[in-house]
Amino acid sequence: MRDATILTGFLGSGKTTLLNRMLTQPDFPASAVLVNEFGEVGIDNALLRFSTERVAVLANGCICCAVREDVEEAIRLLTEQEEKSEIPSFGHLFIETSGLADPARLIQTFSASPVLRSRFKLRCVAAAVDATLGAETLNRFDEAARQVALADTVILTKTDLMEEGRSVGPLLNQIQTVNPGVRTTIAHPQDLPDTLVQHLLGNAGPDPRDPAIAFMRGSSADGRLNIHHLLDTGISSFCLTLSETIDWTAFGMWLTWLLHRHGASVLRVKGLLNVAQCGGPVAFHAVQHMVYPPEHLDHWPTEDETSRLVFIVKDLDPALVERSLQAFNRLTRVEARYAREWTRHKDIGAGSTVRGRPIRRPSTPRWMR
Amino acid sequence: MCGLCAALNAGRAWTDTAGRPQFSNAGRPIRTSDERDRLVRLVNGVLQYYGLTVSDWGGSSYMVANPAGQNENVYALTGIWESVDKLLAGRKADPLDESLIKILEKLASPRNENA
Repeated sequence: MRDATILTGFLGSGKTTLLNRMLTQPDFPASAVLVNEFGEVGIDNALLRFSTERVAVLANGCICCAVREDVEEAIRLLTEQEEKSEIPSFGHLFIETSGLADPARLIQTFSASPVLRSRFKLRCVAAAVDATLGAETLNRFDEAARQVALADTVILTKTDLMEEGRSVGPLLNQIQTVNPGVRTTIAHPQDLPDTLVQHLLGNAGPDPRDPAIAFMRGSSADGRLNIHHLLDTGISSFCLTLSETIDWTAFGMWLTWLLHRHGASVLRVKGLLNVAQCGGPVAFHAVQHMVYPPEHLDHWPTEDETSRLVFIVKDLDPALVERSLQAFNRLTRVEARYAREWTRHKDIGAGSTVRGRPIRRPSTPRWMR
Repeated sequence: MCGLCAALNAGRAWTDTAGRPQFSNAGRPIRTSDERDRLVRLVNGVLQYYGLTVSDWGGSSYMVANPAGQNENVYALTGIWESVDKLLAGRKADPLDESLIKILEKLASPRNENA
């Protein structure tokens, strides 16, 4: 299983320059680079492949679940050529997206494609943000805000081009507004921080997806329903805190339905949950329709043991999301009372019909269950 | 796969608790049948608003039905929501529907809880 990194960022944010600098670092592992479009800056000393965006929609027809067929095919070709020794072997795969690409589709491709899922582990989604124009771009362009919302690490580029006396502080705050708790790093013009390189390679200590760590850094996860809106993009982020324990079955039912109905609008959900069926906290992370396996932690990162869920959404009412989650969770309180009424359809047995055909006996004999 | 009806089982989903040692029911491991029973109960609790029912189909899939007698057999929780859309024939079932939330809130209100 090899590691993969997705490098995204808006048009002109300096992705290719950043990648070029990283790949020319001494001791950098042999890497294959898949570029979504022809960049203006050549990348040397690395295996390069180009792909044009081609999207395949999955069977359920949901557009936000579309997989990037071109990427899947390009990676399959790469690995086949490597196996035949036609190209040098590589230890890491970088995918540089085009400036307007939606990284969610790429992330989804890593989850949905059997070829990619079995051979590559997606370690990091990094977004490059131009320090000089980033603030305006994030407010004006939906694509840029989505790229930051879906990133594990945000890298500020072009800090050397900033006007005298201007600081990156406001932009960093804006990035935290879009994606609370996201890791942010500055790519200095002279040297790249070693930690940044390690993060992109997925070698840094804690997993960048670890919400426990993210929450400790996050400024907005302080126990209130903080709603932050970006001006023109319709994207907002908010943190829900639930004092009651969360029933995992009810939560699963609610979230699968929410993602089914509003998957394209729910850019990201991450959080730490106090689950009724578990001893310790459960770290949870989802990107659009893709839910990562929940992670069970030994201890809470702070003394506060209430469930916290960060949502990054587009055009969804945060108050309704909170009310809906609480209503579903509280359904478990009256579950016992309505048990008979809600389970009377448990077995479709003799006398009922399936697709118009009568059932003469239950599908599976009770002794076999 | 079910040897009788040749139905394939759904793979493991992130919502599954049975067979995972981290999850327990008052210290006891959660059995698949108990988990499915609970899921069916809770989903029925919500879908009664739309007049739909869900039932466990032989422990391997779920049957979603509407009052007109149309049925859909699905393997996983996510499939239930796709079937709900089909069986509602154009009406969109939505967990953020305010009238549904109001009904669920009323159902789980403290007065109802203690009744």
